[in-house]
Order: sequence, then structure tokens, then C-alpha cells
Amino acid sequence: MTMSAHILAIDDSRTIRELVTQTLNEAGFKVTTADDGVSGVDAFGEGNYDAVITDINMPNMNGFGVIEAIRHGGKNKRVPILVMTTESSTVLKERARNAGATGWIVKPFDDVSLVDVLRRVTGVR
Amino acid sequence: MSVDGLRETFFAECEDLLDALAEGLSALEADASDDETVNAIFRAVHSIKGAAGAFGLSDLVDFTHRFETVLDLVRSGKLAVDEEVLHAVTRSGDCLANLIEAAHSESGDTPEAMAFLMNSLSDLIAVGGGDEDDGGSADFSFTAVTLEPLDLEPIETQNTFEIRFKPYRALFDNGHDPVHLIAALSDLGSLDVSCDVSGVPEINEFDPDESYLSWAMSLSGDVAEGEIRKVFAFVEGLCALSIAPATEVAAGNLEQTDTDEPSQPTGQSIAVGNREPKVESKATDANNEKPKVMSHSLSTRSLISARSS
Repeated sequence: MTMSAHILAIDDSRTIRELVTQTLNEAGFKVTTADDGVSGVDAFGEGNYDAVITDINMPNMNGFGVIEAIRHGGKNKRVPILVMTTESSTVLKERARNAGATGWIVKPFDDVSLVDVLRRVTGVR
Repeated sequence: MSVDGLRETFFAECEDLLDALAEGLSALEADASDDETVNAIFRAVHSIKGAAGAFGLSDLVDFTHRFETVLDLVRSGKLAVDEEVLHAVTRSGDCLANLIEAAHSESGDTPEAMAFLMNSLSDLIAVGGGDEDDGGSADFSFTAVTLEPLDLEPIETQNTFEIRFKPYRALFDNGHDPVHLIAALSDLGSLDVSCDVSGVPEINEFDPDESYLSWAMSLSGDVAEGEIRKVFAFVEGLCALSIAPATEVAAGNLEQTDTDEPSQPTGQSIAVGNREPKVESKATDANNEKPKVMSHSLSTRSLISARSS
């Protein structure tokens, strides 16, 4: 994988969705967004994604639900999933890890660390 | 979209969230027993906090953090909605609207009631047995990601580290790929990689979801151990890993806790150039096949087939 990777970003905040889209587009990633867990999982089923970024606190289905749905789904279940959260507690990271998260990003993130972490898990240079 | 455009998106979103908050607060006044009402209020405040952090609005982050901590205590039943709580959250809703307005107009004003409400919220957090220091703006550091400040070693030196890495099955289950980790190591210096395929069973016993391979690598360059550890930050606990300066390394010291004994690498030896994650075979095969050049889309499967060819 060397060229543009397709990222699914799930967050109920419009601001965060636009921020992530803008940051990743500038770094050459293609981004699709969803505004809650259920529509995120639906979108995942409809597209082919190289990585997923998900918020934890969301209506309908939270981020742990998203991870579980993808990891136990039939399709692309080993996709890298990054959890984006305002909470940096070790307990939360441990929970995310146990749910099957690949890594985590603490909000607010800076552009460099978001892109760096994504490149690390997708292998895109 | 420009940063200004993003700010406008944020403030437009804040208006929607403040509407949702006001709606939730009046519902709470009418009926304090509905869990979903408290959830909706919490989410509105939480969303404002999450996005405010992106714009460095620290007053807003601090205030919403304390506000949401109280709401979280209500949500988890640790704090009952009595008159005092109701009064504090309603006034906090007003204060939040003022804070957002001040941030939008960049007036630099702090709402009069803020200091007082911060104290009231603190008191309620104490009553509910919560911890207000957990997750506030002071906690908004990037160090928790992966970009930890490096253990900078000022002297330019040429170090060599021996790295032994055996992924557990859970590493793959969590969406990691050893190839990306190896590629990231190759960014740090000159990397020699050899893959041990001796654990791969016969085809009739082969489980495609199982982890059979391990790697022995030698990394040379002006590199500190902290930088190497950083590469493996997300996979800690999902693999057996040993990193040691070359001189101290003894054969077979992988902290392996499961499966078979580590054996001498029998796979092909691969050199990975600095910055160029090109992987080429140094194996001198009898049939003199030309060196395989594998990109970092190199998969477990291709390593196995390279071995068996």
C-alpha cells in the first residue's frame, strides 16, 4: 500500500469530523465520515477501508460497540482501528485494547501525531 | 477548509449542542429520573469539550470538564438530582453559553459566574466521590499518544540493538501488521531482518489465523532504545519482545512465554535499507534465484512462500 488509503472516521461532533477530514486529506488520505456508531458500522459494511478512526462517546452505538461489530463481523475484521478520545486514562486504553483497538489518539490531537499514528498502522508512507 | 472555516463549524455546532443542552435541562427540571435526559445533557457538554480542545480554548475545556464530571456522577447514580444539583447544572448551562459566546467573539471576557460555578461543581464532585483531576485540560497532552519525548542521547553515536519479536495471535486480531512495525524500525537506521519460520506447521495443521513467525533484527544507527520502544508502543503485551544493545545479547533470550523454544532463525536473512523499506533477500539459494524485493505489503503468506520456494 503506497498511495492513498481510505479512512472511515466516526464521530458525532461535526467539528471533529471536519477537522479529521481536513487533516487527513492534506496528508493524502481519502476520508469518509459517519456521525454515530450505527451509521459507522453500516458505512464500514459498504466500503473498503484501510483504517477506522472512532470516537468513544457517541449516541446510538458507542466506540466499543463499533470495534466489537467490526472485529466480529465477516468483513475485513483485522482492519486497524484507532480510538479517538478526550480521556487519556489507562483504564480506558486497556478497555479499548481488550475490545480490539489497534491504537489510540487523545483529543485534541495535533496534525502530526494523527497522521503519524495512521501511517504507522496502515503502512502508508 | 481553512482554520477559520473550522472555527465557524465549531461555533455553529456549539449552537446546536447548546439547544440540545437547554432542551435536556428543562426536561431534567420536569423529570429528573430519566436516564436518557442526563445522557443527552452529558453528550452535549462532552462534545463541546472535545472540539474546544482542538482550538486551544482552555477556559471552555476546563469548565466543560468539571461540568461533565458532575453529569457523569449523576448518570452513574453517585449523585442524586436534588435542588442544589439542579440549580448548579442549570446555571452551568447558562455559563457555558456565555463562555462560548466569549470565545466566538474573542472578547477575552470570562463570565462573572464562572469562578463561583467552578467551585460549586467542585463541591458536587467531592460529594459524589468523583475525581475532577482525571481528564481535565492539564491531562490533554500528546504524550499519551505515541510521540513521547524521546530519551535524547546527545552524543551522536552508532548504536546497534538486537531486537527479537514474536507476535501473538492477539496482535493480528487487534489489527496490527508486523510488516508495518518492521518498516517503522527501518526508518530509524540500518536494519537487518531475519524471519524464523521454523514454527510454521505442516499444511494440514496450518491455521491461517494463528501466529507462527518470529523475527530477529539488528538495528544500527544513531538510535536510542526509547525510539525503538516507541515503535512497539501499541503492541506492548501483544507480542514477546526483547530489545538489547548488541554486545549484551545472547542467543535465544526472547522472553517467550508460550509455544516452542526460540530457535536459531532459519529463514532468509533480509536487509532493510535506511528510510527505504525495501526488503531484499540475501539468501543464497542453490537455484540462484534473484533476490526477492518485497514491498512493505509483504505479508506473512509471502514470507512463507519465499521460504518454501
